[in-house]
Amino acid sequence: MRQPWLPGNEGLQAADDFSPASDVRPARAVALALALALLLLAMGRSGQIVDVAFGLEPGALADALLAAAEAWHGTMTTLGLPEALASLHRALGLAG
Amino acid sequence: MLFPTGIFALFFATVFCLHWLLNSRPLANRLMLLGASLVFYAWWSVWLCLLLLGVAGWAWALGLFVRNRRVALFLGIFGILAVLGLFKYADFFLGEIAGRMALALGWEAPGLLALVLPVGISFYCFQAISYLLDVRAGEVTPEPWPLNVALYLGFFPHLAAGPIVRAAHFLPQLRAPPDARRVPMVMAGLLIAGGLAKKVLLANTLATELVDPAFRDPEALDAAGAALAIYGYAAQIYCDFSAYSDMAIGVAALLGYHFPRNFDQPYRAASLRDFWQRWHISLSFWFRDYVYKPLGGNRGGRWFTARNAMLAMVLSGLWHGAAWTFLLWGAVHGAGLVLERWLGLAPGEGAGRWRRWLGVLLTFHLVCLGWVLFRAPDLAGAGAMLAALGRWEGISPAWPMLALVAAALALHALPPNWQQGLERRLAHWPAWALGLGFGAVVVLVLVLGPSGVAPFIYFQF
Repeated sequence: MRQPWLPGNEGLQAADDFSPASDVRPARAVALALALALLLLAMGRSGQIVDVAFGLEPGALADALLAAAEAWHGTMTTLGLPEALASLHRALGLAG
Repeated sequence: MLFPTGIFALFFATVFCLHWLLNSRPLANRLMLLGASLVFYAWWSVWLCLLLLGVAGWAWALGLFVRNRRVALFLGIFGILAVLGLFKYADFFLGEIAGRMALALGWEAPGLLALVLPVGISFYCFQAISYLLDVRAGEVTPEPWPLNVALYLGFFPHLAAGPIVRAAHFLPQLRAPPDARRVPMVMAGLLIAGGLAKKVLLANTLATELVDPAFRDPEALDAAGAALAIYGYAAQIYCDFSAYSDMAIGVAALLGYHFPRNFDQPYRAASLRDFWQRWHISLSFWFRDYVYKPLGGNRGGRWFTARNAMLAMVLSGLWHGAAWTFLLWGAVHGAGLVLERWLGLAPGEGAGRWRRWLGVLLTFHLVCLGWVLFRAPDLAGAGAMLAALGRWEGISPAWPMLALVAAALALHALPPNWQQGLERRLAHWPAWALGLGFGAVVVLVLVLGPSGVAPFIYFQF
């Protein structure tokens, strides 16, 4: 085993991002963190999700996904999230 | 499939769940990881997967014999280099060398093959060679079945643009299931979020607003514009490539696998030798261990060492692409390394502060000179960019871009282990808070950056 964060490993002699002192969590906790991060991503990028759904090959599944994406984006719009993020982009965005 | 996209986020979430659910069934887990890697690769083109599997099968089959038979090693490496040569160098040879010779002799120039360069081919071919050489050296035992070799070459976090992970480092990790109770989430999250910020906010903006327009029309630039574009490219390529490496390392770590660090604040280097121990470390060490040392390294006197350094660096240049600009870029670095060694220019451990600062400044500018060759479409383009540095009339600096370049380069002013310091501060946060924090950072980065997803520079190599 070569992972520096596992017990019994010394870590690399060269500079590395990980070491025996790296903070570690159980995979279940990481799954929770990942799910929450994805939820925020889906909330903040609801408009882009609709764009992706529009680009799918036509079919029953694509129609269902598009309807779901539009419903999700509609909910986010009701909450005012896309407009708030667009204002932020206009105020602070680096380019585009 | 590109890392900073929603599709990749969904893909990774699925792989993450399957991986840890299957952790107690190693064979099924590795088959799943290989299948997922092929899906990741097939996003570009399905036939690329066949080529990858072909190279993996070849390396595995020859790997069974290389320990006892030297001819198997030569055959194995020759086969891998032949694939790389066909896709990457055939047209350069046909157009630039055979074509020019034919024209000089009054013959008809040979036609070009016009093959599409498969994404990541240089990376996985070098890993296949690493497998053969590590087996030969006894650093890793030959794999009895092809699955682990295919997964080593095709593992999706490093498949498209590295880092080039050594067989002796990665294969032992595949032989035992990763520990599901110990996943280095905080550092992985920092690497992914930080990489995304470097790529989206800095590299993409520098490319679209400064570097691409400047290198497209260098005749329109004055000295300040040319200097800013060159510094801008130095910042862009660092932010772009190190971002990909950081994200790859972070993604692999969330699955319980370790890739060594690939960038270590390279523009802090006080000599070229130091630079190559900080920039694309996995490639530098590959050339050091598999080319420079087998050639004799520095064991045979002054000229012998110089020849070996030049050869390694020119080959490193050619690895990046089949063009005179890359070849010359490698030669400039090789010559710089040789001169640095001969003249004793590299500041040693005990060098004073000012000597070290001078070394950093000189090294950075020599590296920037090399970047002109690296970025320019051809030698004439590189010459035009360097000529623009001499146009001193009517200088008009672009202050917003200057600030962005300074911000990107200022990442090198951070303390060397600043991420470890941040990791310690976040270690007390519960997982849900970390998830929300990293998610918010990712959304913020995507909102503030330019729209669209630019491919990574190193995909072309």
